[in-house]
Amino acid sequence: MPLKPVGIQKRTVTAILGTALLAFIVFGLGLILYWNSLAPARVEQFLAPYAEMITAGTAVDAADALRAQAILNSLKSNSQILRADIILPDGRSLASYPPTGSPLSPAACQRPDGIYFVSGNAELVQTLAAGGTKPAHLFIRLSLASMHQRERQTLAEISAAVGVVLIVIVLLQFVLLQRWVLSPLAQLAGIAESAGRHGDYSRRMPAHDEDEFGQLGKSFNALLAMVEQREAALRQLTNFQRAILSDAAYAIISTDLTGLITSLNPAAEKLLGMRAAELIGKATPELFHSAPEVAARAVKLSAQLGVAVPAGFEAFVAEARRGQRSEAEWTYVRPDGSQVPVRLSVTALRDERGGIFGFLGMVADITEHKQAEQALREREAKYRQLFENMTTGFALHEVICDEAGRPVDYRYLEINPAFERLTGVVAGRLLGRTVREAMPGTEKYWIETFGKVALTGVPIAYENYSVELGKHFDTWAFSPKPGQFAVVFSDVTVRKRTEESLLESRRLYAELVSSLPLGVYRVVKEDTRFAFEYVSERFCELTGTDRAAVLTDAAAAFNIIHPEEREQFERLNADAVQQQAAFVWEGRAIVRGQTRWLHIESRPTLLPNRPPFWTGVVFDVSERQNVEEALRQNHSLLEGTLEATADGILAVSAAGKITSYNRQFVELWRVPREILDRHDTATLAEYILQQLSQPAAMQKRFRQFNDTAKADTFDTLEFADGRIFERFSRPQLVDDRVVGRVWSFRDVTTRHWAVTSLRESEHKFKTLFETANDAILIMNEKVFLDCNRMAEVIYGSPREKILGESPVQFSPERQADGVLSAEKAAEKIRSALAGNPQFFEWIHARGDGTLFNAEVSLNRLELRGQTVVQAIVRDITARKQAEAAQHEAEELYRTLVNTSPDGITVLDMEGRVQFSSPKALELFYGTAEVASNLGRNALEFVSEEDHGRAAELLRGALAGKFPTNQRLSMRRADGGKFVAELNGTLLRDGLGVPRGVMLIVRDVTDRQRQDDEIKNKNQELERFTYTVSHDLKSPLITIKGFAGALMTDLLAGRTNRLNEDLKRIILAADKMSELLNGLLELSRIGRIVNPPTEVPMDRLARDVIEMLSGTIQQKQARITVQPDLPVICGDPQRLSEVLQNLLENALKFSRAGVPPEIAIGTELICDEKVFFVRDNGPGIEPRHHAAIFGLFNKLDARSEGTGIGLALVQRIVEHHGGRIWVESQGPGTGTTFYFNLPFRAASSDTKTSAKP
Amino acid sequence: MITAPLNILLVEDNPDHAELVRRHLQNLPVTCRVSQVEDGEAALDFIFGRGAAADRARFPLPDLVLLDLRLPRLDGMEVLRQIKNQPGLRRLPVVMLTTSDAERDMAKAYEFSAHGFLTKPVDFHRFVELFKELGFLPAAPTRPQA
Repeated sequence: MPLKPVGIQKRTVTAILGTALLAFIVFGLGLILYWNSLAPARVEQFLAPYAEMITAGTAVDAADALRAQAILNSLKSNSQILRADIILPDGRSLASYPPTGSPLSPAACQRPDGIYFVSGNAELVQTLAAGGTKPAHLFIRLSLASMHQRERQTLAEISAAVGVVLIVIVLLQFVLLQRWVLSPLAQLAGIAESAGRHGDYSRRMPAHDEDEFGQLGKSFNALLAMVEQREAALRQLTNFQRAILSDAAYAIISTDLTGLITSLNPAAEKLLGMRAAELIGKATPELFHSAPEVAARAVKLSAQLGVAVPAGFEAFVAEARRGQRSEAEWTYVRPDGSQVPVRLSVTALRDERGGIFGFLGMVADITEHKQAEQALREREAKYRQLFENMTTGFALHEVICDEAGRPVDYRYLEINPAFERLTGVVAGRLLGRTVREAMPGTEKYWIETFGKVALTGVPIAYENYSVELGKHFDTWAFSPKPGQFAVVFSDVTVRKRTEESLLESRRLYAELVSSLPLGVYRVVKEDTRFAFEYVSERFCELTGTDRAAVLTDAAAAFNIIHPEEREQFERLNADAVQQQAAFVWEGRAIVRGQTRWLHIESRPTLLPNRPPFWTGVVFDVSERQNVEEALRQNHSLLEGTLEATADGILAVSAAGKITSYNRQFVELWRVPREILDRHDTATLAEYILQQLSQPAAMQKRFRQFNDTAKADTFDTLEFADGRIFERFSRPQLVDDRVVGRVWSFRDVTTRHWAVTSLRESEHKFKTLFETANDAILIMNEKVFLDCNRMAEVIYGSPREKILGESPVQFSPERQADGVLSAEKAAEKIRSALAGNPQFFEWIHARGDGTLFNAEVSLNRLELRGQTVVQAIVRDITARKQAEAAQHEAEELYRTLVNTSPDGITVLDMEGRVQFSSPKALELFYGTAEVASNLGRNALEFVSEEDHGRAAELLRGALAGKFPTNQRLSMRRADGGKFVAELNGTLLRDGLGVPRGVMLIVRDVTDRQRQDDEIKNKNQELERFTYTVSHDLKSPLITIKGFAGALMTDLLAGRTNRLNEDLKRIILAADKMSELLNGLLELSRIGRIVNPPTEVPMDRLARDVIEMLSGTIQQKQARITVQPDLPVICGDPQRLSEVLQNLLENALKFSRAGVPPEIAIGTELICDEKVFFVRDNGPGIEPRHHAAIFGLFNKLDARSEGTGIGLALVQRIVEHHGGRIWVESQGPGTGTTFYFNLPFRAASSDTKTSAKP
Repeated sequence: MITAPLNILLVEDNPDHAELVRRHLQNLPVTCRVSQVEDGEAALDFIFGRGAAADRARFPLPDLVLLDLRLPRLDGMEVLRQIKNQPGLRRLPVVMLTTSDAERDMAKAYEFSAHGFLTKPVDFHRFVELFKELGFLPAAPTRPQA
């Protein structure tokens, strides 16, 4: 037995020890107390002897101190006694022990008798009996120390002993406790623990004793046993439960109150497709429900329970919560989206108090169930459908029996629509009611019969006829279930009727057979022999046989066949039988000694399970045969005829079938054999029609014939290949009845064409004749025979008036050439008739006498066998007028062209000259007397520089686009150039086709020059204005600036610069004035007042030199003038200014320290005399050569002068038609100004001589 | 305020106009050292430090060039163009002096990125504004001068 009762043992031990200790302590204390309490007694006891001794010993009379002392000394033996004193009443110490001790305090004895414990001593005070008034006191001080010590020792011993005892007791107690209490307890605890903690309920308490422990043990055991049992039961239950949960087919889901899932069995996991772990504690069932369903149910529950049920978990548990059965069908939605129909029943989980702590849901997958339901529904539906739609009536009834069990009534349970239809009784009237109620007239017989069926289960079938309904019914009654019978019936009225009519037919048939002129028979082949099953009377008549004989032996009938035909007959017979086909035979038979023609025909009837039999007829066709023979003869005659004729013949029956045709037909139509063999009119017709040129029209005509069946028809057929047939058809009549039609065809191609072409040409001629725009007249030698409409118009006379007249009637007496019309006409006509076509102009006269010009053409013509003259007459008056007008226009045009001040040229589409007006010739050649410039390319006359542009313009012109007033530089034949302004137009001919370009050329050289000059002048003006504004601005700026400075200075009180500044201002103003003067002078050049005169340049030079003599002298310059300077035509004053300026400049701009040397003369430059003024000054850099002529340009700003000198000079020179330029290499090379004055006076040539 | 004297190159051929400019420059609160040349070529010489002005010590690169439009030898516009074509001199402030009705010149000057232009006769105010713009004077308002 493992001892493990830790706690309790400890506690017990502690308790026991504690108790022991406590006891010990209590004992100890008690002992001490007791001891202490006994202490005085003990002391007394101790002391008493001594006291007594002393007392006895001292029967004092109080004076025996020695005795007393001796007694007291005897106390020495007890070391404990510290002091003893006998105190006299007066306080004196009689005796004291130790003798040398200190006196006792009197107070010590004044205490009452007793023992006092003072400071660890016991003090005895006793009154000594003495005879005296006052007793003496005995005082003994006893040291308690040793006593105490002894006491302590004793106590200790006792304590020890007691302790030991106690310990022993404790141990013993302990052991006993252990044995009796602790051990069992521990055991108990152990068992309890093993049961409780480890679930081991197997151990039991040893419980033999009858004491409490034993009882406890027993009880505990019992408890354990019970627990064990319960456990087992529980385990079982749990296993059971688990088994249910795990293996149940049902999904079991439990939730807590809020709906959170608390458990989930495997079936649930499978159903939901989610794992328990995913759901337990994490979700509510709403997760896998379809929300709309939940909402719907909530609504329904709300209505049902009368409380608002929210759409959520509550919808599942509302009923369960109220203790109601909760079972509903839902649709679960798996995570993959698939849906499962389920039935969920929910119960509330209650604890012992009945409170709900959760809900348990059991879910069954009802997919199959639903499917089964569905199948069932479908089957139901099918059954229903059948029930509703079947044509046989059906009714289900329940038999009602009396007490004896006999059927007395039956109730209608189900009735189908066919029932209603067939009986005419509405189901509503019967359902749920009994037959006696609904149809009281029903016979008992029926109730009994049906009742029998229902009770016995034996079905019955019968046929009955309902008088009310007038129908026959075929009925069958059976019992599907005991106590019930069903009736199924169909309307067989029709069948019945059919049966009856069949019987009727048979009867009629028999009647017929007997009344027909035909013999009727029925024969069957049994094995090898024939046998007649039936022969009619007529049969026997016709065949001359005996009925009975024939029926017995078929040979009796067969024998009548003519011997010659027998073989064939039998063969046919055999074939028919073998093929089970119809049998037809016509032939001779010997009937009653006569040869008659019989027609025998039979058809087989094939029935299953029966040998075939032939039903046939026999009739006498002798008559017909004769007729046929005659017919055949006719036929052969016909055929012969047909074949003999040259025409193609085709006979078609009224039905549209080909009955006959001849060889000729086949050949004519080239019909292939197979089509004919087919005897198919349709195909033949198609084949025929195909060949025609207008099959559709022909087809229509054929159809028409069908309507006019009796008419003869005649037609011409045109073939696509050009053949022409004549077709004649006639109905085939038999006794006035149309049985067909006969067609005959004849090939008339050649004849037809001849006729046709003739007619055609006639027609053409006629058309032409009538519609011609010209008058056409037919005449013989003398008169008009015919004329067309136009002739009437031209001659202004109606046809009647023209025909028969001579053309002379419609002419003036004489023609334009004076010849008599009659003569001339006759001559012309004759010539025409002789075969010479005539074409001439003629003056005709209209019916009203007005004349008109005509163009006449005469031709000989053969017309309808006659030789005639065809005259075509055209009124050309209009044309003549047009010609005259044109002539006029041409004249006008020519005049225009020749007199225009501008040159007019016409170019062809290649740019070659086709025509040049005289002026144009003048322009290009200088004279109009030019042989011809036709064919020359126009571009030849354009200067090179404008060639490109000219070519482009030409192209544009030819395309119809020519911008106006184009200026080109043109080149004359002599090489000279001029500027021409051109305008061009595209020329088109009468048809609108471009045929050339007309150019108008104007010499605008002068204008060009003028234009150029204007442009130049404008540019110059611009430059001028710009330059002036700038150059005048400069001094202005100076003035304004210094004025400002002056003001500033004055304001500031500065006067030091006043003078200077003012001077500057004045100078600037002067400058401006100078500039303006120069300008004025320059402008005057434009308005030269002096007319040009002859100016001898040498004299001019000399004058100028003289004018500048002062400066010349000052500068010590040397001027040389070439002799023989030419005489110039110009303004002398201006020319003087030129020289003056040039000279002045030369003098001004001289090199420092070098006296100027200036030369004036002329040079021959490019065959022209050019003036020059040369100096030896500093020269002008080439880059300034152009600039120096600019207005106000001064190379040196500080120099004197306005800077307009050279500009002026240039102006003047240019005005005289010349040019001025400067030549100078640069610094130190001198400068030469060149200028030419081209307008030389006539006289100059003689004077001047060429200069090298 | 720039303490060192400003080197100003005045390119003007008209002595009167030049004098006017000098006077204004004298009145500015900045010390200006004015060098004057009278034609375009000389101007370029001065700026590029070549020819007669090759001595950079004596002829340092000016801080500002006042350039008249109409000059002999080389036109003012041409001078401007040549200056501005030099990458190193792009920053050199060049101000054109021109007569007022030279709108064409103005456009062209801007095309060649002159820093501005002054219309002759130049108002003192304009000089002040110009110098402020160029940063030679502080932007704080100075006493207005007549």
